Amino acid sequence: MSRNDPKLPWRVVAISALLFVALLVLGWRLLGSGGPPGAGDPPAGEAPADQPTDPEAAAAGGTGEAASGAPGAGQPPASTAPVFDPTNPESRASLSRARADRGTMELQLFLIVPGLEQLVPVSHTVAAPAGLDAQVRRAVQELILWSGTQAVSPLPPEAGIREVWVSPAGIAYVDFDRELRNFAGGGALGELHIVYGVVSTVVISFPEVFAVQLLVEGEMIETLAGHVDLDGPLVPSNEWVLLEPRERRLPESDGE
Amino acid sequence: MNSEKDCRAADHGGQQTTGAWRARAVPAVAALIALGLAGGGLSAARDGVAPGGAATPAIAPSQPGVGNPAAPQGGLRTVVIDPGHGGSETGAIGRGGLTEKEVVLDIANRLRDLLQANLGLHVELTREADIDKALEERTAHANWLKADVFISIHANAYRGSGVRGAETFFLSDRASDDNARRLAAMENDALDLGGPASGDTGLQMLLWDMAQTAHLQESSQLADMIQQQLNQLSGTSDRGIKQAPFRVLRGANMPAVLVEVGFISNPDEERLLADPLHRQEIAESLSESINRYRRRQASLLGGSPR
Repeated sequence: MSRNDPKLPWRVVAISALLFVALLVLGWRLLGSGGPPGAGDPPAGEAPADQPTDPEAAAAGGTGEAASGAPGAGQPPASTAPVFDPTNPESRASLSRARADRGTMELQLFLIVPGLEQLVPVSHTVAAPAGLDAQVRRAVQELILWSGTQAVSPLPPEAGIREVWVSPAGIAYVDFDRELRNFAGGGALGELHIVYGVVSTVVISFPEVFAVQLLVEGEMIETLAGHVDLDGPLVPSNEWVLLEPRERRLPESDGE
Repeated sequence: MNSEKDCRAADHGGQQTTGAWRARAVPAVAALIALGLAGGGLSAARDGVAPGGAATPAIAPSQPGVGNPAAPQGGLRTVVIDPGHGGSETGAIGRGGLTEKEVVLDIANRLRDLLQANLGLHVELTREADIDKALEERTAHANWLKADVFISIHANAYRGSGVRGAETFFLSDRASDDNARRLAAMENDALDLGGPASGDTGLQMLLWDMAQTAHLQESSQLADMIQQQLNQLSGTSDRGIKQAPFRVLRGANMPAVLVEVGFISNPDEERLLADPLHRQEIAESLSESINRYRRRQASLLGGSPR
């Protein structure tokens, strides 16, 4: 039987047509990643879950600008980075690991600027110890020990930290020695500055921390000096700190 | 050389981390809604249930007010004045040795006399002498009396002696703090940190906060009137009205404010606060603002004050 035989069985034609269509579909899918995305296609360029990224930059929006000089700088745009998930313990842990790997961390210290009632954030880069608890402790220490002429710490240098830890839900517990109660000076304004200085520095510097509970000698207290309610964790307040961006880096902080 | 870049980076970082911080509250709220805590709190509050911890005096919302049995619905008849601190809690101390607790008690006494004599109001103080008084007991007393207004009087202090002026506070909107508080309460089941919140449930704490939250707008208006009046006093500079998470305002089930009448840490203001004449002026200023607030409330209700 010849190939040009017009009486070729219709089954062979049908099978050939099916094979052709199947090849077309396969070819289209293989070329699909470089071609225009179809309606049901996954987002173009989506990174696999295990792609190495800078989690801190991802948490900050992933543009790389926030972590200039860090490994994440210059990486693909925000849409390619995994999103920081505050409910995921691994996602949270990756932030503190990234800081320790990088060796430094950028803090936002909330300081008193004369003439302003609100505390002002000042960017300050320090060495990053391993582990979130140690990093938060370091941040509070930096706040206490800040010395400058244009901005001063809301806490006195004598303030002593006993212990710092962060709970699985993202609440940082900062335990001070009893002397802290004397430093508020009995006034509401000094008390507000101490409390929101610590709370804002920790929450704004560490995306994995949701709120801060101040303790004294390992226990919750009503207030430091009779005003601010401390029997629960607090979050930063727009009333007492400047949360919007402003001139952050003051001359005396340049030298670390 | 790098300062511009550093500044830009810092700004950007601050912006992003602040946004991330706000985003972090969302799962917490969702979790709470799932647990039904928020809904339970709302319905309980609507039913008039007031919270009370083991260390907190019971509040009896259904109990008739002692001082105003015949008070017209909504009329301002009973005022509770809270002289801050007291006893072992001296509060702030000026460089000249003047103590906050003695200044504010004297102003509170003067204010009571004015309100009783000029406006015929029923007035009670949370402390009549130099004694210790728990912060919860102060608002609990006002709640028990079904007071129409709660005013806590304080004198401010700061490290810098140049800071001066009067300011009036009302409770901050505590929605974000409440979320953190309830999360902590759930976590703290495994921790015993003792202290005032020990043994409280998230629901009890929510109800405490809701007591004042319902009155925030009125508290804000009262604070504004007080501050406007204080600004007319000679020698007093205006620091405005503010919101803060002050414990003494937290459980008040009526419009409640905390007035800082001046900085005792400022030598000039300490001298003023030591002067009986200036204390009388402050009391008159507070009395006049309460009178204005009373008239405003009466006009809103379509009547006139007694």
